[in-house]
Amino acid sequence: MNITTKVIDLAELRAGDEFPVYAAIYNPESASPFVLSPTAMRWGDNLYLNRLDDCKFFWLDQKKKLRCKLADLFEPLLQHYYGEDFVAVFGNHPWQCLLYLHYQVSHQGRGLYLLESRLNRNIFRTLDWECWFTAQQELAEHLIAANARGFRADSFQSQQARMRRFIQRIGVATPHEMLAADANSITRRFGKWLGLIWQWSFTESSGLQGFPWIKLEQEQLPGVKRDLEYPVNQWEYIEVLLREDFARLCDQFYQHDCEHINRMLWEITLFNYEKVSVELSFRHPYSLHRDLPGFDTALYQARYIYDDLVRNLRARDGDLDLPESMPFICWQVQVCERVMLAPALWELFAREFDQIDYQQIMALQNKLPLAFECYQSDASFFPEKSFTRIPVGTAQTNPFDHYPWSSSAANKPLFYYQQAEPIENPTAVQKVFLERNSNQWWLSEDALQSIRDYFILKDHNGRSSWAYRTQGGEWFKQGEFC
Amino acid sequence: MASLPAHFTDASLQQQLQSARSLKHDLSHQSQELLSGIDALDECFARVKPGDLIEWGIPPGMNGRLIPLQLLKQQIPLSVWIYHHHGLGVFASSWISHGVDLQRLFFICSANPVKELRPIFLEDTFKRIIIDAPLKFSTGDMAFVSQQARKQGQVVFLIRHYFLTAKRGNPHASLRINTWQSGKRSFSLQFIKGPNSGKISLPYRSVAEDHEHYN
Repeated sequence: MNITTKVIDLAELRAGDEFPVYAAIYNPESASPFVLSPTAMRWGDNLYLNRLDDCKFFWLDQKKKLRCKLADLFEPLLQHYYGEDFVAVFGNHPWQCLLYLHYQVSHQGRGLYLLESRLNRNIFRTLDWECWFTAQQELAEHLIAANARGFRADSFQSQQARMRRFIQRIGVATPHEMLAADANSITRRFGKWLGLIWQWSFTESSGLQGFPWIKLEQEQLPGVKRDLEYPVNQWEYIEVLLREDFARLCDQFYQHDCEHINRMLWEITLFNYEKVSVELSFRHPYSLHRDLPGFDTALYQARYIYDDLVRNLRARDGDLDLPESMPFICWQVQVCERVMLAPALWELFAREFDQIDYQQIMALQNKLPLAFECYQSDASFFPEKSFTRIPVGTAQTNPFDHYPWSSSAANKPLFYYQQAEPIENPTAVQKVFLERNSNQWWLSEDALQSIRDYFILKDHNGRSSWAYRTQGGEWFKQGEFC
Repeated sequence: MASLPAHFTDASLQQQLQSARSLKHDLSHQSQELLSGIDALDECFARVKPGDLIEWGIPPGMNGRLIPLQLLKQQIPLSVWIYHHHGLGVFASSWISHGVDLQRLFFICSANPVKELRPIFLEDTFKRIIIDAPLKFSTGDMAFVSQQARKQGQVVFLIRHYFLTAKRGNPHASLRINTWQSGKRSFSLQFIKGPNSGKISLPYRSVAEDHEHYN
């Protein structure tokens, strides 16, 4: 007799991998609320809500790079900013996060909780009516502050009292036991607001559904202005002045180790008072103060922008009576997008992946006008689909034994034409048949059209190229044996 | 009885012996800068040291790039291959099939690498830099690249899309080699400058996986 035993994976109980849309964070240190996202709301004393959806791809990217679970990514970051005593609940609706956070704080819970995990979901289902009603006190205050349409505190309290009496009468211990009651029936019996709260408590959707969200405004982003005493148009002079401006900008950050810049706006006023706005953008979050005193990375990007701008202005104004290289008379540099990244994130990042210092490569890449090309193999015999380009530092997704796939490419060239070039039927050259290949013929209506016969073509000079013939007899050159 | 000075005691001798052994150990582990795993090829590159610039003559269509590629297979440091071929992109599967670790080898496309990618040469992030058939590469660029390579202990491969000749020399290169696939069964290397001279042949089988249709 076969006996199968299912072992419960603790990691699965602790953390699912669905990306949560909201986080409620209780932070006794009163640190910045913009740690996980630029979109936040102040809910109470030391209690903030974050909308993570706005930077979902950034966090998913970090998670992929670090090859860890979401909880393992967020926990050290939150510890770095808020110390050991924070409570953070991640879920799909702010009300569910607040409700569960309220429960954890009242039970001296500490740390990070993902509502997607089975363990937390099970605890969430056991929350009693007292917890549900108590959490509504702060909500009522917010609805009053937000001047919510149709909300009256006295009427809401009387509806709450009515609902409490009803629950006592029917003897239901927790809201979850009454899950069968839909929001409409609660609305009919106890009013619009309790109906909405009921809906928020059990919704699977990430929409706010009338939740009173008031976005917390970010403090003014750093910026510096420069009025030039005389017009300048040579990069050598501009570079010196820009370096000074970056130093001033850096002072505005108080040299905070967590501040990283994604984009800066450089607004230039030209000699003819025309204003031009250009953007200095960084492929990877850039730390200005770590680049002190030279600011090489920012200056390289500014140089590329300057060269491009000068070229465009020359092309546009070539026939006008203007200076050959248009001078600048003033400019303003302003940070328009920044992100707080704990050093812990970067340290982890640098240690990963067999000691390859990706941080150094990314810092170098920030100084270049082009990105590095990085590739990984894919499980396909079809040449164009046998590999994919990936961003620098990305760990290989679903590692697999690539030998059977890559060995099929052993006799193919190192470089190929991304757009195969049509050629004449090569009659006067030596042809060596390599393989017959087909790309997902079962998906195409005309399966024969996807079949290709691959050859090495060798001309009379001994030069080899890689070509294929379709079933229609057309020839295409796909690569060169460089 | 005269006493032995402290530095001649047994313990001290033992320490000196251990120290000598560890020195020998270190020396024996001083690895060659460029390794391919092919004995004949490794002999040719035995004297290459950090800071060297090696110039290769590899005309297109001759499959000669498989030779410098062999030197990028054995546990390479971070390396970058700067290429510029009209309309051609990297066919990554082929590189992987030749055993190149694409987590350590990065690519970037540039026609004028010294002007466009100056920061790469100013930093020591990459210990191997391969400049493959640049469209623009002046003598000044060559002097700059070789000076930076010496300063930062990098090894630079400069691949030309034509065969090199002794008539037109290159004072910055420590080695100058032409390579090509000769026929179906071997690869040839012709040494123009460096400790070796003449020409050697490597069997196709040692460089690439044999293909029964082709050979």
